[in-house]
Amino acid sequence: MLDLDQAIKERHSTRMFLPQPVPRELVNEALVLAQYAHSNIQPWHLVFASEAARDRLVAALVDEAKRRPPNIPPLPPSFQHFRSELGAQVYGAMGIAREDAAAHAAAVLRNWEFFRAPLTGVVCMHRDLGPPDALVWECSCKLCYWP
Amino acid sequence: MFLQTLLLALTERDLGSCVEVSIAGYPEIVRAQLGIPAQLSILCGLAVGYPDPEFAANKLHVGREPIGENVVFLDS
Repeated sequence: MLDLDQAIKERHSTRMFLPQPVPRELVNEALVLAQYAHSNIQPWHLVFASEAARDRLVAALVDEAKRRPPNIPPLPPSFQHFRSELGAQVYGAMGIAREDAAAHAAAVLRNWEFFRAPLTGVVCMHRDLGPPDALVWECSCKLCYWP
Repeated sequence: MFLQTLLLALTERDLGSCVEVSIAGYPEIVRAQLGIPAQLSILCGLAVGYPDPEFAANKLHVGREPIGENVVFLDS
């Protein structure tokens, strides 16, 4: 078992998953632990989709992503260098040259395939709550997507 | 807080994850497919599974700035 320091350092974004199914009991254990996270109001709501439900979600998202760009507010200019640097590192690790538009587009599209993950989820919060209520936002969230 | 705790617990179980704001870029698609009611805001997507060890970018650990960049202690 990882100690806490190791788990914190080991956690990083996975951008390509194996098709191997995720045991539901492992996810349930992790969710029970997550319920202990700091909060006074426990605002989070998760919806998971796997198997056929996951496949339908991915098909609909990929279809839409081929049609039009996502509605994502741009990062403020002072933060954009983070995304540029991350993009260079991620695409570099994928062996995609900056000028290779086709490979770049294919890699971006994998966002809406959840990077082929067999278990996909959506994190929600009541619409009347604001960011201070959530404290679920990680600054790095927006960095997972770079146009 | 919840999400980071969940990610750590998944990591401890050898499961990979990716928090994706890109999924929230098509909220009406997500709502229709998953039956998410209007009173819930969609914050982000979450991918969970076993990492593909052959995919080089999975080994990427993006560096972090030293704490002096984002933390200040005031003592007097």
